[in-house]
Amino acid sequence: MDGEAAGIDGDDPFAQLREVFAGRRALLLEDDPALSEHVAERLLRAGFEAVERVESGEAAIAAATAPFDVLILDRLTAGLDGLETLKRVRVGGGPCADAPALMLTALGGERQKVEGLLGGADDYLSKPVGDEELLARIAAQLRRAARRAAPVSGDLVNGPFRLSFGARTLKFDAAGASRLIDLSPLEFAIVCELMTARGQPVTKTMLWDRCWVEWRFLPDNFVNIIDARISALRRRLKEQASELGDDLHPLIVSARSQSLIFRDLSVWTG
Amino acid sequence: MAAVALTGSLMATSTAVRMDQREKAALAALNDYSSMASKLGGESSLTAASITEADAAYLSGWLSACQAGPTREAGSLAETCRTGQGGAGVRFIRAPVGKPAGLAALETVRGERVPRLGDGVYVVQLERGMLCPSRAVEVVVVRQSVGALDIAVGRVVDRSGQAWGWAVAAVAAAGVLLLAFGLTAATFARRRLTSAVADVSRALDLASVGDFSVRAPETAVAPELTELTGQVNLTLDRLEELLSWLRDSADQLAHDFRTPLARASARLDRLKEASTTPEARALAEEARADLTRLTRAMNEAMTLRDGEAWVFETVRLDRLAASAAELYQPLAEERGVVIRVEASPVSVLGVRSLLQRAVTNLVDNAVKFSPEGGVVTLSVRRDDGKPALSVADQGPGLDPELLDDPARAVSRAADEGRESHGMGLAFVRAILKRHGAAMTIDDARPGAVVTARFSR
Repeated sequence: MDGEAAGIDGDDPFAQLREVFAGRRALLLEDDPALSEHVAERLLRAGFEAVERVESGEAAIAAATAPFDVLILDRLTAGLDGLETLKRVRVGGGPCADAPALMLTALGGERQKVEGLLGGADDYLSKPVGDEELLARIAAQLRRAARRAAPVSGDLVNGPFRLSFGARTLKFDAAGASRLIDLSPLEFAIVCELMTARGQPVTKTMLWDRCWVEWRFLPDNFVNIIDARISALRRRLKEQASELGDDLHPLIVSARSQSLIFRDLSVWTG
Repeated sequence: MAAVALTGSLMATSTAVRMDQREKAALAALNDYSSMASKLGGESSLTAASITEADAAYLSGWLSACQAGPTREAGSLAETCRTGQGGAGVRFIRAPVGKPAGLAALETVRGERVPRLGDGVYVVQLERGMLCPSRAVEVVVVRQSVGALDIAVGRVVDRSGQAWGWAVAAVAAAGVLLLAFGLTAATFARRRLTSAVADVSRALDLASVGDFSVRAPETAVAPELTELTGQVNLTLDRLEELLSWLRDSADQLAHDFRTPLARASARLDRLKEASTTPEARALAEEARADLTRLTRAMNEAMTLRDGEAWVFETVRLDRLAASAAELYQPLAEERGVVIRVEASPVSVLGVRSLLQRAVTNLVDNAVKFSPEGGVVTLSVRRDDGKPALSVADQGPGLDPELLDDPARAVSRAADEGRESHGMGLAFVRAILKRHGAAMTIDDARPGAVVTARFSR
C-alpha cells in the first residue's frame, strides 16, 4: 500500500485527497460481499482510516450508533433496504443523523434518483461506479458537511478571482486591472462548481448533474459535450484574464480521465 | 319517429272524421227520405198509378224546401259550393211518365254502395261542374223506389267542417306537445348520456398519459353504458396492474444485471492494474468497453420501462430543439459545423427525459456525421396540423440498407467495429414509438433528414 501510494505523482489531485480522507470513517452497507470488499479496499487505499462493512439495514442501524463521517448505502438490500435504513438513521437522532449519505445503487432510473434524494440521500450513484467517481463524490460530500458545520458567508476568493454567489458574478482583480468576467449563466455555474471545490477534483458527471440541470439524463457522449464547453470557457477566461501568465492557463485543468479542477491561485502574487 | 307517429295519427283521425261526416250526411239524407215517404203516404192524391211528370216536379220542389228548412243546420247550395262546408241537399225524382226532376248526375254517377250507413245508401263523388261550378263534392245519397217513383235524396258531405278542423287541431296540438316533451326528455337523457360518456373518455384520456388514478363512474344512465364502464374500469385495473408489474420487474432486473456488471467492471479494473503486459492491459480495456456498451444497452432498455416514463406532460418541442442546439453548440463549433434552428411553438404530450434523449441522439448523430462547414438544421413545425420535428445534416447520407433495416445495419456496423449513423436510431425509434410518433429517414442529398411525426 505504501509503495503504491508513493508511486502516485505528488501533483495528482486524487492523491491530495488522502489528506481529506485521513482519519475519516465510513459506514458501508452492501449485501454483495465481493463489491463490498472492493469498495472498502478502495476507500482504505484512498486514505480512509476505517470502513465498517455491514450487509443488512438492521446491522447498519445498529452500527450507526457510533459516529461516521460518511454513509455509503446500497439501495436494494434484503430486509430493510438502503432508503428505509437511511430514513431511520436520519430520524433516530444518533451521531450519524447528519452524516452525508451516498446512495449507491443498481437502480439508475430518474424515479429512483428522486426517491433517493427525497429520502435523505445527499448523492445518488448508479452502479457500476468507478473509483474516480466514488472518491470525488465522497470528497464533495465531506466538503459540504464541513461548510455546513462552519458556514462561510460572502465571496469566494481564489487569487485574483472573486466569486460572488449573491450577485452571480466573477470579478478579476490584478495589478491595476479590475473587471467583471463576462460569462453565460451556464459558464458561471461551471466556474462556481469548480471553484467551490477549492482545488479538489470534480468529475464530469458531477458537473453535469449540477450545471446541466434541465437535462434529466446523462447523454452518451456527455464527456465530449462538456469538453467542448470547457474548451470554450478556457478561451474566454484566457481572453478576459490575460494578465495571468501563460503558464497559469488554462485555468481549468484536467485530472485523471474524468475530472476537472479550477487551478488554486492562492499563492499567486500578481 | 315522432313525426311518423304524428302523421299516422293525423291520417287515422282524418279517416275517422271523414266517416263521421259521411254518417251525419247519411242520417240527414235518410231523414229527408223518410219525410218524403211520409209525405207520399199523406198526400192521398199521389197514388202510384196516377203519378206524372208534374207530380215529380212538385215533389222535387217540396223536397228542396224541406231540405233547406229552417230547422236544419244545412247551408244553402251556393254556400256549400263557396266554402266546401257540407249539408246542402240534392235530389232526383223520376216518375214513370215524363221528364225526371232534380239533379240528373245523381242517376248517372252511381257511386259506391255503403251498407254500413244503411240500405240503399251510396257515396257519390260529384266532379267539378256537376253540382258546384268550382269544386268537386262528395254526396251521400239514399236511393229508393217508392211505388212507381225512383227517388234519390242526398246530402253533401262536409269536408272542411268545423268538427274535422277541431279534431285535426287537437291531434296536431297533442302531437306538438308530445314532440316537445319527447325532445326535452331526449335532450335531458342525451345530456346525461353525454356526460357519462365524457367521464369514461376522461378516465381513458388520463390513462393514456399514464395517470391511472381516475376510473369511469358506473352510473345507471343506460344498461349498455354501465356494462361498458364496467369493462373500461376492469381494463384500466388490469393495465395498471401490468404496468406496476413491469416497473417492479424492471427494478428487479436492473438490480440483477447491474450487480454482476459492477462486479465484473471492478474486477477488470483490477486486472488492468495488475497486468504486466501491454496486450493484457489492452484486452482488459476492451473487455471494459464491452461492459460499458452492455450497460448502456441495458440502461436504454430500462429507461423505456421505468415507471417514471409512463407519466406524460406537455413538452414544447421548439424549446427542446433550441436547448439541444445550445447543448451541442460548442461541440459543433469545434468541428466547424453550424447548427440552425427553425422552430415555431409546438407542444406534444410526452415524457420529457425520453424526448430529450431522442432529440439529443439525433443532433449528436447529425453533428458527428457532418462534414467540416456543414449545416445541421433542426426544424419544429406542424405538418397538416400534426407536430413534427426533423434533424437534417449534410453528411454522407444514410446507408440504403439502414433505411430498410436499421437494426441489422447497426449490428453489422458494430460487428465490424465501426460506428454507424444508426447507432442511436433504434433507441430514438423506440422512444418515438412510445409516444405514438413515427420516425422516417429520408435522403436529403446531400445528407440525411430524420423526421419524427407525432400523431397529436
